Order: sequence, then structure tokens, then C-alpha cells
Amino acid sequence: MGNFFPRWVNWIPLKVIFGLSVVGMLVVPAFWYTATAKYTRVGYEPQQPIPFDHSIHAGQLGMDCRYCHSFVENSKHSNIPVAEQCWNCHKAIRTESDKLLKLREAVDKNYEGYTGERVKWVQIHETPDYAYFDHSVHVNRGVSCMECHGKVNEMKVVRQEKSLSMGFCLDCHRNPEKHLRPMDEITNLNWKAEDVDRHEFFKYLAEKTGKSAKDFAEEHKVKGKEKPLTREDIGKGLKEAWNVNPPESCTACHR
Amino acid sequence: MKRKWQHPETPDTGRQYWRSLGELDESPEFTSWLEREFPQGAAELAGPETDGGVSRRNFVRLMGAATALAGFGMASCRRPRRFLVPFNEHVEWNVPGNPLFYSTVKPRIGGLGGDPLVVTTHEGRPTKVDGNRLHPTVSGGSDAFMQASVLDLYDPDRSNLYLAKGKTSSEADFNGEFLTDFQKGVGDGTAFLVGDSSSPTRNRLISELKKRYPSAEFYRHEAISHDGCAQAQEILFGKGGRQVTRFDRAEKILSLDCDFLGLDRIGEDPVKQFTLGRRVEDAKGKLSKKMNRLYVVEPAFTLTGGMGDHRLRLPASQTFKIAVLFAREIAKATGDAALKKAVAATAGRVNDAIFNRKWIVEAAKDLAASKGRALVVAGSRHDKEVHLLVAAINTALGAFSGSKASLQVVNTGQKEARLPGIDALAKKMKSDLVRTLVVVGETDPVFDAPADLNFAELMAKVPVSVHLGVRKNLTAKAATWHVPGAHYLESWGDLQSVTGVYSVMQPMLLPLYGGLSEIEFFIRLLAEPEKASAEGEEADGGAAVAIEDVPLPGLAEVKKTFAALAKGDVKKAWNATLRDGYLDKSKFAAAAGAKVDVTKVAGAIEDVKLVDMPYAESMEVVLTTSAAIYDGRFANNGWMQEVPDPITKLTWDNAALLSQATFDKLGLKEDGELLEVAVGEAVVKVPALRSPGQADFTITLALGYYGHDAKGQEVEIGRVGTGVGFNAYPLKTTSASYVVSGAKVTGTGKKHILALTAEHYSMEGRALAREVTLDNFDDDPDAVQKHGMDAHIPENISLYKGPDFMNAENPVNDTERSNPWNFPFRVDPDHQWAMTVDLHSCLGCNACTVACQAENNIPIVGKAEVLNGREMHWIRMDRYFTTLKQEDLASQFRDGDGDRPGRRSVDDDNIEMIPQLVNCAQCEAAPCETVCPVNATVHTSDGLNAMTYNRCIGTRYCANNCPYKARRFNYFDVNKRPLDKLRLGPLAPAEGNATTTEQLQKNPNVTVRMRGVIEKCTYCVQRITTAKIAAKAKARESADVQVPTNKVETACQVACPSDAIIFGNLKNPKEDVNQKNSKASPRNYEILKYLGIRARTTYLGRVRNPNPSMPGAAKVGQATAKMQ
Repeated sequence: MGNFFPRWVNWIPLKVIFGLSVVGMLVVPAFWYTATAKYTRVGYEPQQPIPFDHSIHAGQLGMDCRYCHSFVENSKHSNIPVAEQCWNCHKAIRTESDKLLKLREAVDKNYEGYTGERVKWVQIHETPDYAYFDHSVHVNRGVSCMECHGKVNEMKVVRQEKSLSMGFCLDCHRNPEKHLRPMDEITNLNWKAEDVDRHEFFKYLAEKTGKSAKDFAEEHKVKGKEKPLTREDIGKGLKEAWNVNPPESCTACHR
Repeated sequence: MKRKWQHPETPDTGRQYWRSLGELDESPEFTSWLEREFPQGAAELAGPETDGGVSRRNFVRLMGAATALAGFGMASCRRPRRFLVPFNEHVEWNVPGNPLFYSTVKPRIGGLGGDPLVVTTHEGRPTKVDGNRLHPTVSGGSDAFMQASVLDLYDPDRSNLYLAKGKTSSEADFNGEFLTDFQKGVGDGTAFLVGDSSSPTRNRLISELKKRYPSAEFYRHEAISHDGCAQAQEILFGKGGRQVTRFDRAEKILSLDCDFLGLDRIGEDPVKQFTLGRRVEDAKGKLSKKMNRLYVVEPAFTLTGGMGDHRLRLPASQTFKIAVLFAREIAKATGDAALKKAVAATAGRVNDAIFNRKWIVEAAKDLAASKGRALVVAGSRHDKEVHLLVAAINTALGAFSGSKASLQVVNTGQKEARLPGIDALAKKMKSDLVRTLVVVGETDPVFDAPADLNFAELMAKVPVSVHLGVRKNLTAKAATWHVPGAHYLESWGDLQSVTGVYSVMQPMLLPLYGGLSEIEFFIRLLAEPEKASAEGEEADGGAAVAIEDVPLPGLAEVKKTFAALAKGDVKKAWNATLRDGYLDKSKFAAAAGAKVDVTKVAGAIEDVKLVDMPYAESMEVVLTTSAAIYDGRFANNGWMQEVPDPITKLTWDNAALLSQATFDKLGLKEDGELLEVAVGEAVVKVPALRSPGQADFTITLALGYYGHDAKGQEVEIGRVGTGVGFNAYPLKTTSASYVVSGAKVTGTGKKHILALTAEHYSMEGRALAREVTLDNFDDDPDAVQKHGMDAHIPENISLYKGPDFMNAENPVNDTERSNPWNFPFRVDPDHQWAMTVDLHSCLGCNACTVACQAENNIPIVGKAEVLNGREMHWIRMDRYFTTLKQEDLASQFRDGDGDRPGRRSVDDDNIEMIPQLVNCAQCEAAPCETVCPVNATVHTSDGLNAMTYNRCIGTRYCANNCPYKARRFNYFDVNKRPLDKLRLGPLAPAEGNATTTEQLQKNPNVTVRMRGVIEKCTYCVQRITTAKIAAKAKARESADVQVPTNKVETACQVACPSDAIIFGNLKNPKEDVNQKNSKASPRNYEILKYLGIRARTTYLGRVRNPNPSMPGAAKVGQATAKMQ
């Protein structure tokens, strides 16, 4: 029998392996990159036209988030306050500060540099155009601002803390109990699970669900009799009490 | 191996139904449409209009190069910086992200009354209009024109500049060179030409203008007028007398060429009223009153004819004759001596042998039997004699008597006679008596005035002419001055409905191009000279004016009118009117002592010239309103140009509709052959199109298309409307406005390609649109559920058990969750969405199709792409014609040859029409989902068949697998491209992009789809999601997250004027969709049920109410009944 195959055929497997590995070397990093914080812009911290310091306003002064982001409970957008809103206070406080120049130019009609030009804040947290995120449904159902924005009350300059990728959203939508908190603590970014009084909480749950503390503790395997509740215990309770069923269908965000 | 579903054989049961004559003949073209989701060759990008575009092969080559070069640029590696720019000051009511709803009112097209509206605005941009349901007398349905009117606001070709003799000018020039002189006073020879309007403020300003300029003369003009009707009413009831038709009160209705459900909407709210009188059952399943019966006499199929129980095709010129015969028979049956006497002389002149005598006699008997609850209506296109005669018939039938009668006469309070028409103006212009002409209104007299007036020439002779209008139409270009008009969404104004309910028109935004409304224009003309010039300078200065400083003269005038109308606290009433959209308790008083004087009628009709039946050598041309562009005012509106005509399914064109017999007689071979229609000296060339149910030797031709001028040049009207269709106005004359007799018609042998969608997306399957007769229904209410195969399909056995949507509790528990790779399908226990479409009340009017287009950012694709079967409408309005097959085989087929038996002949006398809208049915076991390779289309927990656009890679497998053919594909980036270059390829330069104005209309809650993506109806998922979010946000600490009853309404449902679409949540028993007139109705059936796909959209069968003694009664309501 003669040789059916010419000699160069011997190299085919090697060439294929080499080729695939080159492709693999390109493809794997490409996918890898999209999963990194760099791609999702975690830590993005742009300079704003006015160096507004959240740590002073929301931290030291203890202003509620909703004083400025006033429509967060009613709208899909959490609004950036209109210049007038800032001016409510700042027409009395630190009016002359250089840092507020852009604001004065925008609203102070008695100021010689008044232009009426609107303040252009740089957008930090951004979902793609095809994802329709709604603030109101989250803050009205026990998800704190902190869950996506981090502890803004400690930030001098706001930065992006979480990836805000689809995986990030789905983590919470699949297991909401890790991210729920009592409704009156939504904008309290310093809230801790340990602050919750165990007995008060069970009383609240009993009121809402009709289940006794004991039944509830057994069903959800709440550990310890007198120990503070964990974040997950509270979340499980609230999830049941409020019937929290975050949608996982595509149409929840894409339409 | 490809498995092919064996659809059941067509049963040979004596009934045939079809969407196009091609389907009836089983032509090879149709078979290709049927078997393919998209037609052959659709994959190739190149087409006749891809100038500068690329073929697929070229595209791949170029893209390869582009990819290779992509690494060098690196420009795309940084995400663009985006800014959030809040207002400086709070804006009243404005919550970023939430829409605002305002009430306003739109002039009803054609002049009489207004359509009360609710306008959705997003951050100040109106994006959608819907009917106002709070209004006491108009129910809040839409028509296609209303839905499309919002697009006109953003028309990139609308008038945006002052023009002087067609050249760009400015407001200052206009004020300086015309306005100031005018205000100083005008001498003889000043004439105004205005449209019809029911605006009290506008009409008051006209009388003020008459006072200020006593020598000025006023004329009126509407291209589609209701002159005959209005004249008859003035004769019968005096000035200010108006007859209001209440269709809900009539049990038997005879329409004499009156398309009151379609393009001739007489009365306040004819569609809703008619539907109310025609219901089979109400939400409880019972009705006290029997459904009405409709007789229709008409030359061509209309929506009204399609709803009719008995239909007689008759040339429009014969309407008077048949009215006389009806009068005679009704007089006989009711024993009404006055009527008998009135028509005796005229009836003697009518040769009744040429009519279907039995039809007339039996229908007349039936009407007379329901004396007091019977009604006859005549089409607006007919002369006053027909209307006078019909009024006399109605008197004999008792339609005028009593406060519950179907005809009421009100007093509009108008004291002056109607303004003289354009013919009187033309006479003056001819003798050079007009020095200054002011044209105001929606019409385009240079284009649409009666041809014998030669208005364009006359206008050229007038030294100074001024035109105010929203469109840059022919009159705008011909006038010495053109002033840009304001759209109704930009203006303050007011309107009274047909019965006199007063509504205020409030602007949604400042005029985009600084246009003036009619009211503001009249105010300027009325102003003193100094003041006006000051205003002009201010506007010309260009300095930014704060919103509160913008002068609103229109508002002041409207408030003045309002103060005179409102009673009590005017300010409170004003606010309530703006909020609710109407002034409470405002309506016209009943006209005291209005009575039809039959002797007057007798005198008027005695010497009417009778017109002979048309015949081959002297045909009749009926000039009709276009269902797409009305009288031409929507010519540059892409939505209206592309929406298929409800009857013919023709897009982007008009055509001469003719019957098969006429077609054969003219020796034509195929649809689209150009005809030469000559009447006297006027000749128009139009393509022929066969239309079933058409009267013989009668051609129906839609007006309004600009087409080409006499020299063969395209008439410039905008990116959309330029060169589209064929201008039919040359046939319209003062003596024969809409019904033209004595036309010589010859074929030219040339062909024009017509973009018909009748065969597109044809569904193979049996018994799709079902109907029964009322008697059948009473005997066997479930009959429609057993039509076709449905009587004997076996229980559906599925190897794959999908989720049980209706019975499943939330099946996911913590144990299932503990496995991170386990994502079980979760069923929403609170919401399962579904829809029913009631074929009984569906007219097929297209309001839903256009509403869907407005709501869901659906682009237009242009004529060339429609020809490829790539129209994007998510709602496809199928229209079936149906007849019984001819008894004997010989007459079933004609002109056959050896191989084929020939074309099927159609029994044009006994033909019925059923429309059926088809959108995505959201099948529970959806065939499309299983074939998607990337999970871009999957089921949601609340039972929707979701479409994730950002995931779709465009394989189109899903569209291939969809039995309803409800999926659409973006072959081009049509959303991105300008309206005249929709087919630009992906590599077109950036300047080829769409203007921003078109994009302002887009709904921000719906993705604007790009090229290469499949899209389809998702039950307005944005509305569902918004409602669910609202319910949850409201629930807060409560566990009740179900959307409140009937809170979600789809765009099509809201738009439907006859409430044929009912949508809702199956999990809430209180929802409309679960009532006895929806899912729980015995008429509820699923199409293509034998496929076992469990569609969420189901249909309710139509019930016809034939009169058993009528000729052809046995053939009514049998579209599917005999199918086994």
C-alpha cells in the first residue's frame, strides 16, 4: 500500500492545536476582561464641576438622601437636585465659596457672574440603554441605596462601588434576603443588622405573617435564642412578610 | 431532515375565504408567500433603492477590513463621559422619568367637532395621543388619523420658516412688508379662505375680523366637504340647526353609501354607539336588547359594508334613485301618506327594474317593522337632495320623534348663514376683484380645489396672497407670503363637539418652529399696527425669553370665550376643564320645534336630474377620502402612508378599484396596469386594482396623493410623500365633486407596481376568522368553538411538560435555590396576562396598528421594503373576503387552460368581509422559544413571550417557526436613517442619519431596535412592568403586590374605538378579560388550536344578524360554519 496522505498532513493536528491555543489566548482574556472591575468601572471617580462632598452633607450633617434625591421613591430615576435645591441652604451658608462658583452662576440672579448655565454633573453610575432600572421599586421594597451605591455618606468624592453588571443585579434578584432591611432604615447607610431588636422584629413578623416567632425561627433555621439576628435572618423574614419576589424574567429589565 | 407539519386538508364545504385574489386562485406568488416566512431573495440586501448601499457580499468584505483596522483606532476603548444636567429651577409637575398626561382636543378631521384627547408627554415631548375617556359624549376610542397626528408635530419637512414667493423670508419682513399695511385697514378686494372649524374662539375672531375690516370677504373650503348634508340641514332646520345621529338607539340601520364606521364619521361617536347597539352579550353574559341589524348600499367595500348584515353593491350615482325606491317602499309599509306623496312623482321616473327589487322591498319592510327604532343614513359625499329625502324617510320611520329617538336636532347657536364656498371666491378672482387673499387652514386649495376653477392660475394672479399652514404644501409655495403654522399640540384653542360639549385645546410645548395657530394669526391681523410691529421686533431680537414671559395671545382669547360660556366660578371651571378635558354641563340645547317638513322635500327633489347606470363606455368614478392620508394632509406622514388600507391592503399608493367584471371588460391582465381615466378634458393615469364586492363599471379612487404633476415631475411635498400615488383631484369639479359620471376608461398596457400586503404573512390553517348567525348562536352558543378541526382534535399530548401557568403556586423554595446551578422556572402567582379580540366588534380600522407603532417605536420601511414583505407593523390586520362557492363547477372557474382549471370566480353580490388582527399570541408552548440559539426569546414568569433585543443575533429561526407569522425583522437601520433614505447600508456616512425631530417622538420606555434584530408584540411589556413596579412601590410593607384590576391596558386596547380588544390578568377574576364577554364567552376560540401551542390571545367569533327574508340571507354569516 502506498501512502494515502502526503507528509504535511502530519502537521495538521499540531497546527490545529497551535491555532486553537492562539484563539484561546485572545478569547479568554477578552471574556476575562469583561468580568473585571476595570471593565465595569468599579472605582470610577470623576471630578465633578462642583466638588460636592457627600461625607459632609450626608455624613456629618446627617442629611437624608431624599432631601436632594427627592423623587427616588416616585420615579425610575433618582433625580440630581435642581440648582435651586442647593441654593435653598447655600444662599445663607458659604455663599461666597469658590467651590460654589458654578452653582452661583447658575441660580444667583444678583451675582455679577450669573449666566444661568446649568450645572453639568458627570454621570457615574450607568446602566446600559437597554436595561431599564427603576429606583422607586427598590427603595420602596426594602433595598437600601447602599446596596448599589455603597456608603456614599463616607465618600468625599462619589465613586462607583459596585459593578452594576447583570450578574450583580441577578445575585440580588435571586437571593434578595441578603439585601433587605427594615423600611425605615433604607436611607440609613450606617444601619447594621445587630441594631435590630430580636423581639420587636419577631413581633412585627407575627403581625404581618401571622406566624409565631418559634415557627418562624424553626422554618428559617434562625440560630440562637437571644443572639442578635443576622442580616440573612432579617432578610428572610422581610421577604416573607412583604412577599418580595424579585422578577428574574428578561422583561423585568429589558423591554 | 426537515419535518413538515401536515396541515389538515381544505375541506370542500362550499365556502371559500381569502385575503387576496391570488390566494383564491392559488397563484404561485401566493404560495411562495405562504410557505416562506419572508419571500425568496429576501436575504440579499441589494434592491432597486440601495443607492450607495452595499450587497451582502460587499458588506462582509468591508466589515472584515473594518474589524482588522479596529485595533488601530482605540477610540472606542474609553466610555464616553455622560452628563446629568438638572434644571436650575424646579419645573412644575415634572418628575424626571415619569410621564405627564394632559387633556386637550384635536379638530376632528373633516371639520365637525373635536376628538377629546389625553396626551402623554415625556419631559415635555408629546409622544402619544389617546382618546379622553372622561368625556361625557365621546367614548375615547381613536382612529388611525388621531394616532398618527403626533408624528406630524415632528415632521422634519413641516413648515418652519416664513416664505416669500416660495423663498426663505423672515417674520420681520412679513410684518414690515405685509402685516403693518394690512392692519392699517384694507380696501375692497380682500378675501379670506378658511377651513371648517368648530372652534368658538376662532369663529368669534372671524366675526371680529369682519367688523374690523368690513370690506373683507370670507369664503370656506374643505377638500372633503359635508356640503350636501349641511345644506339639507340648513333647509330643514334653519341656521344653527344640526342633526345628531345616535346609532346606539337604532335597531335597524340602513346606510346609503355612508361609511359612518370608517371615513365618514357622522354623529358624535358613531363607532362606539354602533358597537353598543350590536353587542352579543355584556360582561355578565346577558343583554336585554337584541343586537342591531345593518343594511348597507355602497359602491365599494368600506368598513361599514364589512360590518353589514346585508350589503348591496351599487354605483354611487344611483344612491338617489335607490333612496327614492326605499322611500316608496317604506311609505307603503308604514302607510305614511306624506312620504308617499312626496316621492310619488320622482318614483315614477325611476326605472326600478334595474335594481334588486326584492332586496329593497324586504329591507324596507324590515325597517318599517321597527318603526321608531329604525334609522337611515346617507353619505356626506351626496348632494342635498339625497339628504333631504333621507330626512323624510327618517320622519316616516319615526327616527326624529321623542327624546329617545336616534335622530336629535340641536341648535348650535350659529346665527349667520354658512360662508360661501371656494367657487364663489374663484369667480371673484377670475374677474380680478381680489387684491389680497388670506388662506388659512389644513387644506391645500392649489392642489385640492375643484379642477374647473383653475385655482392655481387664479392665485398667481392675486397680487398679495398669504398662507398660514403647518405644511409646506403647494399653496404655501404658491402664495406670496407663507406663515408657518402651529400644530394643534403647540396651540391654545378650543373646540365644541358635535353635541356642543366644550373642550379647551392646550399646548404641550412651545411651537417648535415659532409657528402661529389660526387664532394667534387672526389676533395679529386684528391688532393695531404699532403693537404688532413691536411684537415682531421682540421675537426677531433672538434674546432668550423666560417661559413665563412668552406672550400667549391665544390663551387670552380662549379664556375670553370660556368666561362667556362657563357658569359660576370661572377660574375653578377653567381648571376643571383643563384637567378633565371638557367643560361640565356644556352642550347645545335641543332645537325647539325642529321638524322635517316633508312637503319641502317633495319640492326639492322633484326635478333632480337622474343619472343613468354606468356602463362600459361611460363609467363612474367615485372620489373617496383616503383611509391613509385623508385629503392629502397626511401625505408626508410615514405611518399613514405605510399602514395598509383597511380594505385593499394597499400601501404607499392609491389605485382605481374595480370589479372583476369591469376588469375583464377592459381587457386587463393583472393588478397594477395603468388605466387612463378621462372625464371631459381631465385625464388621470392610475393603476387598476381588482376589489371584490365592487359595483360594476364603477371606479373608486382615493383623493389626496400628490404623485406627479402634468409634466410628469414628482410633486415636492416632503421626504415621505413626494411622488407617492396618483393625483385624483383633476377629476373633481364643482358640478361633480365626488361622484363623477361619464368616464372613459382605457388600459395603457403599462404597469405600476403596487405594494399590497394582503398576501404577506399568510397563515396556513383552517377556520381562522369565524362567524355564525344570530339564530345559530342562539341555538348553539358554542358553535364557533367547533368550527374547522376544533370539533374533533384529540386531547393534546405533549412530551415536554411546560410550566402550568395557571395552577402553579410559586414552586421555588430554598432547597431548590441551594444549588447554585439550579434556576427553576418561576411562575408569577399574581399575574398571567392574556388578551381577547372580539371579531364581532372589530371593524379593521387600523387604529390599533398605528397606536402600536406610536407606542412601540416601530419604524416605517418604505415602499420597496413593503414589496419585499418586510413591513414592521406588530399588529397585522388581516382582512378576509368570503363567499359561498358557486353551485356548479362550470361557473366556479373561468378562463382555464389545459393545466389549470382557471381562476375562481367570485360571487360579488354575496360577499362578506371579516377583519382579523393578528399580533404575537404569547403562546404558552411557544414554538419560537425552542429554536432560539441564544435565548433571546424566552418565557417570563407572568406568561409573556419575551423578546430581549440586546441578546438577539438575528438568526430569524424564531420567525420561521412562528405559526402566526407575528415576528418582524429589522433588515436595515431604519430607525437611524432619514425618511427618504431608509435603506442606507450600515457603512453610510453619519450625515445619513435621521433628524432629531423624528427621534423626539420615540417612547423612552421602549428600546429603539437596531438592524439585525427580531421584534414583535409583547403585550406592551413596558406598560405591564410599569404597572407592576407601581403596585410594588405602593405595597411597601404589604404583601399585596397584585396590579389593581384593569390597571394595565395595551396601546391597541386603549386605541380601539369599538372595545374589541380586551387585555388583562387571568389571575384576577375581576378583570375585564375574565368576564362573560371575553375569555368566558362561548364565542371564545383559539386559532390554530390543533397545534397545541396554547395561545394567550384568543378570538371571539363574529355573529351576523341576517334577515331571513332577504335575498341571499342563507349566504350570510357562514364564513366558517360549514367547515368540518
